[in-house]
Amino acid sequence: MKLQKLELLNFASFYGKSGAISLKVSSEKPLIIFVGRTGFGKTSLFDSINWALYGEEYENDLWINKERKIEDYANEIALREALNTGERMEMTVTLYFEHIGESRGQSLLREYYITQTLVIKAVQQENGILPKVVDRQTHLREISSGGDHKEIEYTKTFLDEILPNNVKSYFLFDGDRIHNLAKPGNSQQVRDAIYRVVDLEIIQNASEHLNDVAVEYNKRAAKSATGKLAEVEAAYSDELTHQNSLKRRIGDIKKEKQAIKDQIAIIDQKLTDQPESSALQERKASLTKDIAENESSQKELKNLIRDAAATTGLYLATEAVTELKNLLHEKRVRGEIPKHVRETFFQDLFDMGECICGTTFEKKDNDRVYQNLMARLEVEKTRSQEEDRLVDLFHELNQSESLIAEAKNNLQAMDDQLIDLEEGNRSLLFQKQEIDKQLEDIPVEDIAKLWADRRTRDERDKELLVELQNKTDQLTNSIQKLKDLDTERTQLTKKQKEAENLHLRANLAKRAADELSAKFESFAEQSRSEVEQLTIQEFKEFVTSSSAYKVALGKDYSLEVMDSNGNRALQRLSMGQSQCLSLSFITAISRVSKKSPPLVIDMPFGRLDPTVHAAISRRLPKLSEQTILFLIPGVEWNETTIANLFNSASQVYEMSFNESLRQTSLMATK
Amino acid sequence: MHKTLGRLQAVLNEIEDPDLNTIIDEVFKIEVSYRSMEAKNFPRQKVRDVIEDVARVIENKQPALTDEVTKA
Repeated sequence: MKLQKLELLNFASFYGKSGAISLKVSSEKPLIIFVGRTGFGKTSLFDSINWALYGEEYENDLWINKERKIEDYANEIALREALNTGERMEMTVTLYFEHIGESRGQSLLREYYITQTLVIKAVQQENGILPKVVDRQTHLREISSGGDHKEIEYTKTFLDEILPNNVKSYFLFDGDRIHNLAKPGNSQQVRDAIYRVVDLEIIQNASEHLNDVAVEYNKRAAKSATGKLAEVEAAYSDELTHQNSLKRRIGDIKKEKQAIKDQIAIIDQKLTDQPESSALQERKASLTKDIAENESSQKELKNLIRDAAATTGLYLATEAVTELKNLLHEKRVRGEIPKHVRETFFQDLFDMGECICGTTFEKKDNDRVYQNLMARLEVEKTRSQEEDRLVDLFHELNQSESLIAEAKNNLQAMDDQLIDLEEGNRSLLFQKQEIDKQLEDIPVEDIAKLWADRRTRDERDKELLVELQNKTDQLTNSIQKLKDLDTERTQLTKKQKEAENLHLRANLAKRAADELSAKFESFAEQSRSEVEQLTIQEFKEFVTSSSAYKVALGKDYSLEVMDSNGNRALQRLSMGQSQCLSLSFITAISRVSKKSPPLVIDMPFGRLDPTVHAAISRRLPKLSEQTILFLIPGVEWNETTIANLFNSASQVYEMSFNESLRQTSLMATK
Repeated sequence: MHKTLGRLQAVLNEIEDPDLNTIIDEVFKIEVSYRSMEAKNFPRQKVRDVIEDVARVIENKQPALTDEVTKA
């Protein structure tokens, strides 16, 4: 989506027709810049773009965030004229934009415009003139390649396919607030951003809606069934409803746990900021890190012990091995091994033709002595093999004994190491508990309250963990039960046509839901990883000193920053660095989503220290194909930012405000 | 408005069963169209219609198969 031009009529400080305000950009010059002092109408222009796109939905946002109604934007002079003449006034905003859609696999660029109009009656009141809305209209039109303007029905669904309302706040935003994304305790917000912008939400919702439809079909099938089938149907329907509620509860628990984690992070941050507790908090953070490292070492060691245990298990046979070895040894000493007469000895006798007793013989089958010697040789051969095996066994037993001894010693060493680690961990945990106690005992009311809050949340977190485990176990059982019931009802259903038809539908919906559910995890992980890589890459581009920091997007979607010592540093980032990280993150989700929305940023430098102006302004032209900025002269539009932004801008508008006429005018300076 | 699935196409490409692929493709389009709608207002009937259409196609195929078996 690219914005093309904006036209205003009696909107805020823009009296009468504003004329076309071009927002067109080129790939080399993707910026549009509005420069104006506070009160000159910058935020009104920002609001006008939002109102044009989102109409009444944006009006709700305005009321919630600023307690302003859209008719409050009616131009003062036009309103006074309307009162004087008794005529109604019109307030209108028209926004032109183009968007690339797809049709039969082809990308097509289409042009549209949306016009929001309010017809207002001016009513004199004691404290001024009240604008009263008497009519409102919204028109959405497509401009064909031939130049025709075709009216399209304006519905929420139209923009849902381009830049949905629940995503817009990540692309059209107040620069002063955006750095909050990179503050501790905002992982829920970061997760929402990823879920919405990179379409994880769509997969999750599709799976849930398909599951709901499956439940509906099953209920109908249960009603249409009779006899034994009716019972099984009712049981299946109940189980499926139960399973869906389990899945929802598990989702809710995970969300609540995440929210608690965020709250605890905020409390910890507040506690760290308390001068009375900062030293203790630092010590606690260091202990927490040591405990995590210790636990990780324990885990590794336990794995090694598990592998070594298989070999060391043979230790149980040590006694038997030693006994057997001793027996064989005794036999050897007694000369019983080897005891047999070797084959070569017989060959010598055969060659000599004389037995050891002196009897001569002939090597013939009818010679009795020869026959006896041959028979004895056969017997000795068998005995020889057995005794050889005994000799080999003796050597093997020797080797096994040393292997077992070595494995036992290794295991013992690892066991000792594990005991040391466990003792160390106990000591670390004890120290941490001591610090917690000391922190709780600090006689400052705020700290005591913060600690009480933290404890409450910790307890709730533990409760949720137990519930999560229970529900997960229940879900596993439910899945198995449902499978069994399905097999049973399939057999019974064959007899009932209507129930069979409904089952077909229920099964299709459930299988589709299950397929999505199965694909979701890997898709979510892939998306998280892509966003993480691009955020790291973009943050490096923003902050030249970023090599001192390691950025990560946790599995729980928390943005993390580690310093060169591996300590958590998110809370130590300056406002400027947080702003850079937030912008890096937004750029990353935008690129991963492949949606290429425009960025519209009101006061991107906000209250930032001028030292970060250079870093941000250098990068702003590269964030999106179109970026519209609203800047305050001097504070934001200064030598540094002009040097970095001016040449990348397709338009720079200077805003001036006539105090006596209460009117804004724009002058294009490029 | 022509609907684009964008990244969702990658998920769709992994669904091998043609019936489920058709269902998920259509349901994705509905979800994209109504993504900012409150959950209670979501048009679930449209999802039912998708299931209904695919189920009918399957049912229409079944008698034909049975006939062929009978003839054989």
